[in-house]
Amino acid sequence: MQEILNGFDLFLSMQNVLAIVVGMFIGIVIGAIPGLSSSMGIALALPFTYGMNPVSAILLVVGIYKGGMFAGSISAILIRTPGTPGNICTLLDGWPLSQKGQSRKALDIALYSSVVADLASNLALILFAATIASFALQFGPAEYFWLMTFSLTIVTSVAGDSLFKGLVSAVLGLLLATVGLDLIYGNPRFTFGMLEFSGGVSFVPLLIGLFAIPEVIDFYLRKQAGLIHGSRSGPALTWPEFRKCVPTIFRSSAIGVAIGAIPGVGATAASFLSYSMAKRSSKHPETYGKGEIDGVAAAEAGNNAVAGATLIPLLALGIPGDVVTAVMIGAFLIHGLSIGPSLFQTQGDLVYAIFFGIMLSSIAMLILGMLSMRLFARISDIPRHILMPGLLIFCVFGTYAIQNSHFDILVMFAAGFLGFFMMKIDLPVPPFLIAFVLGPSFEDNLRRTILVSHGDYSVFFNSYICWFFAALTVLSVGYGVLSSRRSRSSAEATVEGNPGHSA
Amino acid sequence: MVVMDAASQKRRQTIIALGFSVFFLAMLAFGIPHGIPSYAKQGLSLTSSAFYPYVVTVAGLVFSVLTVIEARAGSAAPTSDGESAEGFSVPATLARFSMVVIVFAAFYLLLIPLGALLSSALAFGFLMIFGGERRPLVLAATIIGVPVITYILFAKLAAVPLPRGDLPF
Repeated sequence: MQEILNGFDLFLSMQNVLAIVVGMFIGIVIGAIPGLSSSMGIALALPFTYGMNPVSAILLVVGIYKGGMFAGSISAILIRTPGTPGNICTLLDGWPLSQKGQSRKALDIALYSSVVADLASNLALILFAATIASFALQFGPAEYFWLMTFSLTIVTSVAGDSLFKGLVSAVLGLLLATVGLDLIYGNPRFTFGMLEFSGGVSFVPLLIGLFAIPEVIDFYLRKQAGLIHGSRSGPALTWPEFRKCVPTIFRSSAIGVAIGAIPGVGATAASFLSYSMAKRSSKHPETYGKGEIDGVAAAEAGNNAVAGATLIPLLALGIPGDVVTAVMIGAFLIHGLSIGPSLFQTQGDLVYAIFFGIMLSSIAMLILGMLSMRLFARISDIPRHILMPGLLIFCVFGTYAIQNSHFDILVMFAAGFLGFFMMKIDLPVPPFLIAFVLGPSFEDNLRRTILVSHGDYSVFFNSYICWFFAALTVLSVGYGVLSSRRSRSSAEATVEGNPGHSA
Repeated sequence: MVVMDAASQKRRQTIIALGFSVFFLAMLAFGIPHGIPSYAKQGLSLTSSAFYPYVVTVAGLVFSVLTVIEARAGSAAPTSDGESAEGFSVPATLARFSMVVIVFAAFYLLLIPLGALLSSALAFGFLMIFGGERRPLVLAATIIGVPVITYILFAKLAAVPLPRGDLPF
């Protein structure tokens, strides 16, 4: 109790409050620009933390992290380009809402669900850090393998009208993820002697290319490309609409916290799992992917709940949960703080001061988010013949910014044409991307499990966690197949009722 | 948007699915043996580098065959025709598509020699005109304004070392 009071005393300074607000602001700006990542923002901000006290320094980087995670939804909703990989799922419903002239609504629900999830995540961090961290430590290669297998079954939820086409798309994503050096032996695969592919196909150029570039291409192939005038941001979110999303937000927050506490899984998987659960539990799953507010809420709550939870293994065990938290370690090291269990014993008051700041970050996110939304929502009003060339420049600069690579721009354009081709043949992009994200971890854990088991396959079922995720996988696949058959039957009934119709 | 009748759509979906089957077969026959040099030494043992891509490709082949069967057996949900969009004839659509490809290629190729600012201004200007904008003032303001603001945002505020070309800034 004394440590909590000391922590509050330590936190209570204008410098700490300013640090979290400034960090959040930087994070929102960085997150809203495709190509600029939170890890880049934190890396750039680290030198500025030298002169700060440790609490302010850490709160500044936490603010950038959380702001970036939330703001990635802005570009996902408005220009179909996720600011961070964790926001891929947000665009599935956010972009259609924007196209319907309801971008303000989509931005509002993204903000509110992000704030609620962030708060839930912060509470989990403060109350259950040690417990959750010890649970996460029980994950070995076999447990990770099953978790990844279960996560891959999400493709059945985002496969669209044809389950098999979705699976073909996922397989293509898994295959593309094998490009580069093999993770176990270091053998090159599908690199064809090109050094640029040694590390695999860069994810962010692929992401930007798959989603943003097809929109640009498609725009110039349409006759009504023309000038759109008048406000398209639409009305704000109403209270009944928000209330309808509350169960989804809480469920997705819980999923995000659980996933975030497991190192290496990340916001993208959490976001897709949350979205998949929301769709499956909905009475109207057919509305998902066509501008369903609940879909935006699920995706945003899922990925933002990860932000606080990834700090659990970081603070409690010293294990970074993702790239951003790995960069955040720098802020601790600069100030001579050794993270892990000893941090709680030797610097308890400092830990609680950080916790108070993190709680404040949710309020800062709400206020700054509301202010920035008004500004960002106006992007929808920009005539598309000006927006599209501008988007192209953002895509090129943003892609180049990742690792100053000219080759990455080529990858982005290639991914853009691939995305356009997929759009034209109705091959869904989300399964491709989910598989590409989860593929390396899936393969790595599968092969590591096979290697350490020396041919004893019972290792895949040697813990209750394995059984739990194996059962979830079977249930998820079964449900996916059933719901696909159901939606196919209703599609067939529609076609039979309107043969040869045209619009 | 034009929506195809059920028979044409079935044919189109079948051709696409067959295309995927051919792709996965080609991967098994040529892609994996030639794309993974260690395949010659390690073969397809459980822990070899080629085993996982091989299994994934076989799965892809199975799914693509199932897609063919699905396309032949039932009628899928109505989809876009994949041809000329919103009234353009097919040759006009192809011409416009080629133009977009040329602009992208030019932007990519000119980025290093001309620098980010000049090449983006050129690409932006061309696409604005291509998109239908003819007002000189709007063109001038946006061709200068948008690339400059984006450049400042990335190069100056986010400290990204964008290519400069021969420009001194």
